[in-house]
Amino acid sequence: MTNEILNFTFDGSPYIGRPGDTLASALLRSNVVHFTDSSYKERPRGIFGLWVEEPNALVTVETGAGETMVPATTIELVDGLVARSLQGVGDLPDTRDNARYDKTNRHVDVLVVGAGLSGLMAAAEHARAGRSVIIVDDKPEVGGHLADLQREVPADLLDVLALPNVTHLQRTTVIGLYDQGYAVAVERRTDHVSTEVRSDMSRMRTWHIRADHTVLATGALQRPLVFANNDRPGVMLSHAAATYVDKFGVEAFKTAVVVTVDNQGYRDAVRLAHNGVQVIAVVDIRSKPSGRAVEAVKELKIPIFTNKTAVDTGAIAGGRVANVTIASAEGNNPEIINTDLVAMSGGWTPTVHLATYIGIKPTWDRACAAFVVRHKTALHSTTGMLSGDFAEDDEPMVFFGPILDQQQAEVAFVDHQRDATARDLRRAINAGMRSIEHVKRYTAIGTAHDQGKTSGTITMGLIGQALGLAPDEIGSLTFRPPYIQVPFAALAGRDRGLLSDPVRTTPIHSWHVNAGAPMEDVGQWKRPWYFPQAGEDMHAAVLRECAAARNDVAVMDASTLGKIDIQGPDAGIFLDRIYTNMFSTLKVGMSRYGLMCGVDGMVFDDGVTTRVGENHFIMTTTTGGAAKVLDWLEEWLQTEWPDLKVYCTSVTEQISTVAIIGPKSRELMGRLSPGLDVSNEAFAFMENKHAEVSGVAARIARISFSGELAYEINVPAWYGLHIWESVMREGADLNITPYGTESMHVLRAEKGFVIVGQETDGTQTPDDLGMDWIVSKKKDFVGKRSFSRADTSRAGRHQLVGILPDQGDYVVPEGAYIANASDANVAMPIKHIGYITSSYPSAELGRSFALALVANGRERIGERIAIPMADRVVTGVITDSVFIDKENSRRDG
Amino acid sequence: MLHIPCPYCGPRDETEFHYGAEAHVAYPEPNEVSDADWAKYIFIRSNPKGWLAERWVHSAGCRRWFNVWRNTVTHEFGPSYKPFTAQPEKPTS
Amino acid sequence: MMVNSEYARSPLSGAQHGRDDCVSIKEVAFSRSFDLRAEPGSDGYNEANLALGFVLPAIVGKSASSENFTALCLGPDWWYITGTGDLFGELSHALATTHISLVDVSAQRTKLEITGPHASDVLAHYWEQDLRVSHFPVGACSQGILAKAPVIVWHCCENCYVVFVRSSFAEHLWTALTDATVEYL
Repeated sequence: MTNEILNFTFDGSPYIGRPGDTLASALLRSNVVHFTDSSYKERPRGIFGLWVEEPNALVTVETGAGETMVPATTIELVDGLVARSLQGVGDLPDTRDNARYDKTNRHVDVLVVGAGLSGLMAAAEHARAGRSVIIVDDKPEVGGHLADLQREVPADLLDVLALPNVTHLQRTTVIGLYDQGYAVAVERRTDHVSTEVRSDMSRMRTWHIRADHTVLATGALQRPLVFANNDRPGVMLSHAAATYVDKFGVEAFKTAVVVTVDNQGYRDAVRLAHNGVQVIAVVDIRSKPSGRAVEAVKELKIPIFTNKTAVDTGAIAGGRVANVTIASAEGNNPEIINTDLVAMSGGWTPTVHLATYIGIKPTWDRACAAFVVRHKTALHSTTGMLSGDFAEDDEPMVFFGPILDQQQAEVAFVDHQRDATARDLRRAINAGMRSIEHVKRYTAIGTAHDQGKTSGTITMGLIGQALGLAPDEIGSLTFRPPYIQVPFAALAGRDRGLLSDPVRTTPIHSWHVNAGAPMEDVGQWKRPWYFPQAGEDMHAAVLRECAAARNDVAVMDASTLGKIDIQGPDAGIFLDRIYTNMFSTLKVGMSRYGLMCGVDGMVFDDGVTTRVGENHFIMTTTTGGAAKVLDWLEEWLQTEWPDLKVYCTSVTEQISTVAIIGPKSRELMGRLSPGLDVSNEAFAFMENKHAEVSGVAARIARISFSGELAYEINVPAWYGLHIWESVMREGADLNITPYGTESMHVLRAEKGFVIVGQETDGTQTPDDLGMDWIVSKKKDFVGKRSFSRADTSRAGRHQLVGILPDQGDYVVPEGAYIANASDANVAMPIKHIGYITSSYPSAELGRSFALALVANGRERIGERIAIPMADRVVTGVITDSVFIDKENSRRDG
Repeated sequence: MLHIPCPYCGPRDETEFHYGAEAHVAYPEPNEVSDADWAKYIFIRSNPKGWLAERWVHSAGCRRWFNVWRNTVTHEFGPSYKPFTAQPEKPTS
Repeated sequence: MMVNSEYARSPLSGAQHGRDDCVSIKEVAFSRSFDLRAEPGSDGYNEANLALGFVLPAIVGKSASSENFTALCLGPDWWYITGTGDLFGELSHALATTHISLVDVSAQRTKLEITGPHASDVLAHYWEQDLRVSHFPVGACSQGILAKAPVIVWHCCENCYVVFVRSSFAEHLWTALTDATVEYL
């Protein structure tokens, strides 16, 4: 051991430690035996275990990235560490965790979990057979128990770790195992080096591993015994106590009593004695212990009490243990022994958690006095202590603690973190609980931070005892990932902030940003919401944009719309089956608006589809529906109509679309494309022309979503920004006005055009929306059959209508419920007859207006309605859903 | 994270797929089916405890629809098969 | 469609990052590409093979190349073709007389090249498919998701991966990939 000293601070006081210490070992070496108090009953508690099984000594680390609820036994000491003890519950820091976390993916032939001796041997076997191996271990060094005992790992096994087909991840915990060989492991990369938070190296790396075969070599954790006052500082797991004394040079304990059910207790007694601790007695519940470890204790002349166990402990002021009362299992012939350490060896509990995550059930092995996992399939196998490979000459007894009276049971702790006792277990059983899962939930045993690492088997055993059943007759131990606590930041990795979800942008996006347009999220897309000029809020900007659209010329980036290229001799027939209206009759060069329904007859997308060739269509979909519609088309082609000769190709991002709209759009179009005859006769509504626009080959469509004369200019996306800039330049003296999604919504709503997802939620038929005109009576199409279903054809369905609120300056919130005018002021609950789907201020109308779905709406046009809100009742009237230019005279300019 | 065996691409993570529920639910002839049977086609799908022949589409990959046996309890996958091909036998266990 | 470089903009403006001796990422702007659909064995398929100068590989994940074109097999009847020839011209007869589909998707995606000894390490931070050379050798290709962006990845030569990413996702993917080079540069 080096002479290097590490300085650290705990609960405000300075301490020193050595390289290789955990925070726990350094504190014990400084005689910090009373560590904290328990969360519920405020009982003094001390360090209990050696590694992740520690229930008491939780801290908040304030240096480095900062983390809370960390067991002090798992923190590798570094210089400058600052930590504070917790009383069971941590505090989340006020500051952001700015450490770097990342993730990586690996596929491998064999994943070995655990680099103790059996894990290393499994890795060696697979690696030497030429397979790719990843071996993962959560401790600071390989070797498992060998490292605790400071014994060397055989050199030939260490050599395996350096083979080119072996990836060795130390300080890495497999936190979950999932289906088909998937594992997630978290590697700790910098905390053991220093408190520095580095921006050039991730603090933790999450490994996502897909392994053809996984070997579980996760070892075992010691369990304690349940007796009165078994939770005092100085009552510890024996292997932990022995390791603190032997490996870490802790001198906090002058005397010790080892209470045991197996030979492990004897091995630990020997280690304690060899390091200067006076082991007053080994107290063994078995009658005839034998084996090498027992002989070794006898040689040291340490008294051995058989057929005895601990039943109670006493304390000094402050709570530290001062003595232990030993007696028979029934509590007979009690004797008090003074000691400042009670080291418990309650048996080894194999670490079965990962196996249970994927549904492998541990089996009770009486000879091991433990639940083991012995498993061998193509996907998983087990080895080592996990599979019950305990010391050969050991015969542990199935014993969890003495018989306790009510008073003793009240302070006999089963789950230290929940302060749950043997008395709580009895209450659960008396309340009728029989299965471990019920008892867990009734008592909270096993549900805390340590996830029952030391209490699981004991609980099964004690319930079994109470009911006269074996531990495996109580149910099955199941645990849930993660195996240990993981910071959310580690799971998020780099997927935070800007990277948490893709931000999709059009080729014209930079222009919108420079113009200061706030963005609206449309799925993953950013679309300009409105283009405020100096001093404008959204309301003012929208009024100005809409006025420009209806009086001059306005421009919008429509590039986000889904576009699907559909080709083949059966393309027309296919579209006839998918859309509610006819497309096979559409002339080449023409566009047509189409509506799509699901098999249930409900509208699920719409768009304009253009026939660009005899066997060639370009379909547009809503921005949000692009992927869904392509999936839908493919589903029908592949699973229902494989004989149709049709191919679909996504071209959503191949084409950028710039729409210019308004009475002056014809003038502007002529300037952009001087060779094009833009007269109404030569270029009619819904026609398409191929022409050069600002030096770029384009397809121009006269499609209008606003009811105004409009041109949609389609170019390969590389030229989208160029077209937009040309529009802005050429239209400068025409009051060319960029407009965003808000104005787009208003303009179409004034015309009563629905937006799928706004006026619809998957429960509206075309007829509900007043669109019976688009439903072909001549042909079958997907969903048509459902129109005649009883519920689809019943009277009283919600129908699309307009609403004009009496107060023209109030914009009714979308989603507001509509009631009959006569129900305006009745006591709640008020019967509603529909709801507002879209609601805006209208520059054209000079007042607010709305679209709504109202029961039997079309028959109620002219009727008065009321919209009761929290702070007012809005009154108004049901109108037709088209508010301006019902004759469609504006669209030809 | 399921590893789903696409018959064209090999096994891939479930995030590359969309689910299509029970396989072999025939699309009835719309004009010859009763309201009750049509409603069954729209709304009713089997949900057994155990092996189910179901549909998946590899939407992030080859975009092909296919069928596969999956055990709804253990999430084991059995053989996958392309549409309009013979269904392999239901796996045992 | 020839590129009018005066008016054309690529999603990443030809950005470059990193160093060739560890890892370098760059956008190859205005790369030409097509989606070709054809039934293997059909007349259209055979004519396409003649025009391309090789047999379109009918196994998903395989590629084939000639001087002018590379075809990546994305599905049983679907290829992503990159290259500098006039494929529409070469296939005009087939397009008129057989059932095939050829769509110019040059702007639908943009092309990134990730090269260097750490190219696969950087990719592995986000690519969840098997990158081992045994399973994804030189010449292999795969369509999937990279940092939540839809991509086609092609292992075009040793220590070199080409990523075709949907254009609207390009900036996002660039941010993710360049960020992932931090520990290798």
